[in-house]
Amino acid sequence: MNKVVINIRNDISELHEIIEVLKELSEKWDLSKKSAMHINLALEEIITNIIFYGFNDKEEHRISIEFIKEKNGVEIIITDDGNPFDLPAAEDFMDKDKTSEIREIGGLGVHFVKTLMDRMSYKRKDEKNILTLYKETV
Amino acid sequence: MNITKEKKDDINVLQVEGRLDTTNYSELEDLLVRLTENNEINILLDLSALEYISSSGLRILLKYLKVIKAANGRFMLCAMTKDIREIFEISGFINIFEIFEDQAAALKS
Repeated sequence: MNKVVINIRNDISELHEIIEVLKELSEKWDLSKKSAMHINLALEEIITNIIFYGFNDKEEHRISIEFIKEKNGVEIIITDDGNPFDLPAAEDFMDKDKTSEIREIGGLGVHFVKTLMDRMSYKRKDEKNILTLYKETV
Repeated sequence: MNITKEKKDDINVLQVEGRLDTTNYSELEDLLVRLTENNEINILLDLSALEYISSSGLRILLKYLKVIKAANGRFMLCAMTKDIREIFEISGFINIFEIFEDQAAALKS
C-alpha cells in the first residue's frame, strides 16, 4: 500500500482525520515522529487556510488529501475547489524580516509550510487548486 | 489537550499536555482569559508533555505574552521537548519568550 487518500469536509473538526491518517501512516510507512509532526503542521496550516478563506459560499465542499510513499519521502497532493491560491508563490514574510511582528497576523502559516516541506508546487486545473508537497523522511 | 493548574508561590503553573492546535487552542485561551482577568499575571507553562503545537497555538501564547507584559506580569515557558523547541525556533518565538530548562529554574528566576 503506497498510496492513501482521504476526503474531508470544509470543517475544522475534520483536522482530526488528518491526525488519524498520519498515525496510521507513521506505523505502516515507518515515519519518524518528527516527520509526521512536520507533515501534520503543514497540512493544518494549508487545510485551515482553505476552510477559512477558500470558499465564498456556505456550502459543503470536499478537500482531497493524497499521501504517496516515495523512496525517500512522502508526496502529499491536496486538491480543493476553492478560490485560487498559489501557496508556493505567496511571500514568506518571516524570511524577509524575522524580527517583524508580522508573524502574528498570518505570515506564520506560510512560513511553516515553506520551512517544513522540502519541495512544493501548485497548479490550477479544472477550477481546482492542486498543491503538491514533498517531505523527505530519511 | 489536557491542562492542569497549580499555584506555586505567586506563580500559576500550567501543565499543558498533548496537542495544542486549531481545534482546541480556545481551551487554553479561556483559561488565560480567566487568570488575567483575575489579575493572576505570573504564569509558567510547563510544556514537558506537549506533543504538538501549530501556529494557532503559538498565536495564543504570543497574544497572552503581550497582555501579561502590559500588566507587568511574567509569562514563562519551561521544559519543552527538542521537537517543540524546533517549532519555536522556526517561528522565531524562541527569542520572544522567557524559556527555562524546567520548573525549578523558572520558579527561582
